[in-house]
Amino acid sequence: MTISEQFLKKGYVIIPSENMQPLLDIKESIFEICKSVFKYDGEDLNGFYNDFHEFHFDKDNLNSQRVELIRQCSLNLDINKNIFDAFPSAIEQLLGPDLFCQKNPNIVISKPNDPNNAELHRDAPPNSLYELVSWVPLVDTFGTKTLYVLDAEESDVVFHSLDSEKQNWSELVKSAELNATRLTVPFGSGVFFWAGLYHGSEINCESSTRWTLNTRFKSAFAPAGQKDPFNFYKIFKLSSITKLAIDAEKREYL
Amino acid sequence: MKKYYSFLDTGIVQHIPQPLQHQTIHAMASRLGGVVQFYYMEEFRTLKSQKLLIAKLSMMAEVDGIIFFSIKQFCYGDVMNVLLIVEILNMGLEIHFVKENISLVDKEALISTLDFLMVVDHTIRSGATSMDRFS
Repeated sequence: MTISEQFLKKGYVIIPSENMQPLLDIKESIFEICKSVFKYDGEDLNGFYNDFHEFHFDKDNLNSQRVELIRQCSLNLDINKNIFDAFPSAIEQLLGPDLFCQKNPNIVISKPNDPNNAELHRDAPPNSLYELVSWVPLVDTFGTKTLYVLDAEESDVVFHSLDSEKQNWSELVKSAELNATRLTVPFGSGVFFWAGLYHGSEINCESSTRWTLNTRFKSAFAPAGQKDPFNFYKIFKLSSITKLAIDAEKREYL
Repeated sequence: MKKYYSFLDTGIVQHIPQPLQHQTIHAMASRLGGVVQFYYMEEFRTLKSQKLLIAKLSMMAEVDGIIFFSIKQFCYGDVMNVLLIVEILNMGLEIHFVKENISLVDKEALISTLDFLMVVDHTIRSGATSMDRFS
């Protein structure tokens, strides 16, 4: 079954990277920034990510440190490019040649037993249904240390049951999580899923920390959903024909 | 200390009232190391033509730039008013948009951002950013 066929059937695919080097590079570059943000003086990259919870005890400041990490990564790295370069033909096959990407890719850190897991949700408020969400782990993810998704059909059931006034949210989450698929994704692979899918994560009950990158790609000319497109996206790449058309228009102004 | 004029978005006051726009514009001026000297906003009837802004430009030449609430203030007409943006930049004024967090400090900055602004503007005008069925 081709990537497109799998994607159409379920709304998501797990793909091994076509090129591993961009993922190794971004993992190393983020590690270098982490050293200053988290005051880490070790050199063991994999130990840092997986065993993060064993030396990071500043629970109250984890989110502000994570936001600072994202800020520094957005300023100094191009996470979108590394993710694209690792999975180039898959992303182009699913989206086409004119691409926007999320301006600031997100980094998620989930320590073992951290009660702040991402509950069942679709990306809000809501994001474009023409978006491809990429979820790329920096460590091996499995069991409860991963993402769960509801495929397109199950997501549709959740979507419509939200209209019912009788539907209790907690019961809905419980039943959705029963039907969800917990994805086993080793470092070096990525999940690409349709923005219309409901997804979430459970409390990480494994013994190591989960680190993941998530970002979004969208056809440049596709609907932007409810996010302000000027604020949320930036150009990732444009086709030759679009460049010609835009250049012709710009000559009127510049 | 830099000095800025503030230009509120009249077209959106129903959803984002003036005081809130003032607060965010003042906060941006502060981040830029400056202050807001005075503010203006279009009449509803001049949203498309931006007549008021055009009329006030000459008196704004003394400040460092203009902070707009949103880039959409240049998109109420039939096409994005890039010519007016160029005119302001050619006066040596910086342009900042609070809502989109976009700063055009000179014409070079515009040139490097214009492809993105135009593609988004085209997408909005095509109706492609309207409410999705699943929203």
